[in-house]
Amino acid sequence: MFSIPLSIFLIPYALVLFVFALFSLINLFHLVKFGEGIFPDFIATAAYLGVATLILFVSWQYLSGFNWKETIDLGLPTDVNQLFGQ
Amino acid sequence: MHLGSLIKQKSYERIVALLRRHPFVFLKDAALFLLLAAIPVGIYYALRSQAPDLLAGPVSAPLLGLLASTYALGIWVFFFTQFVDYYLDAWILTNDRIVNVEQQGLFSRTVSELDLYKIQDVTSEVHGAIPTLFNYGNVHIQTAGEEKRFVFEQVPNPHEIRKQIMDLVDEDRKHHSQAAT
Repeated sequence: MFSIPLSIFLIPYALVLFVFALFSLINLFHLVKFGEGIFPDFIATAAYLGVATLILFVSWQYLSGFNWKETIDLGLPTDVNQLFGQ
Repeated sequence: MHLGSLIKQKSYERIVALLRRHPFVFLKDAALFLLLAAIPVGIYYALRSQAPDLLAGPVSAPLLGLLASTYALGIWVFFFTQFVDYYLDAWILTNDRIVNVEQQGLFSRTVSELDLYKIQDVTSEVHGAIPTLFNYGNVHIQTAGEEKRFVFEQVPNPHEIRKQIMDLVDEDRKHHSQAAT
């Protein structure tokens, strides 16, 4: 049977993290460069980074408890001969 | 960046007002964010009662975890982008000109200026129940010979702002006519 490791799903998740980091940096850059440099700017930045850190921390805590070497059977035969019942 | 450096104030120029859209406009985005944030909580409780095996499965549980984390990060960055868009849209009213600073999404920013003495017509409007209740609306500013209008969008007290602009226009015209003679 054809099977894939569960850890393969961490690759698109890494891409999600990259896009998240990129958009976060662009937003923060805009706020720093074009904001007024006043207290609400710092509050907004701190709140954003705080919640983002919380989401990432909770995700890490939850996801690190799983066995990522687990495999998923896709139900397809890996041997070509099996396809033709030989 | 402070406002002074954004508009390079002239010696006689003073900032009269810095305008942003009414906070209620952003509250709508915040309400949408809270609604979107509540969806996975609802799904979690539905799964817990209808399909608890999915939440405990060696494959399904980590996949659901990845999905939930992706969703949470996605709506959070979307909400922050909405905030930055709201916060960086501003109109600066001075005794000499109007500066329109507009952030459109992440990669587009427009800064335009209009001299007060060129203004011919200012219209304020409040449409709808919620804008009437919270007293916010648009102020349209028309100059001579130009089809394009400056629009202060969803600003608080639009009628007051219209009066204030017209007073400043009169003041600026007097200043320019005195300078010419």
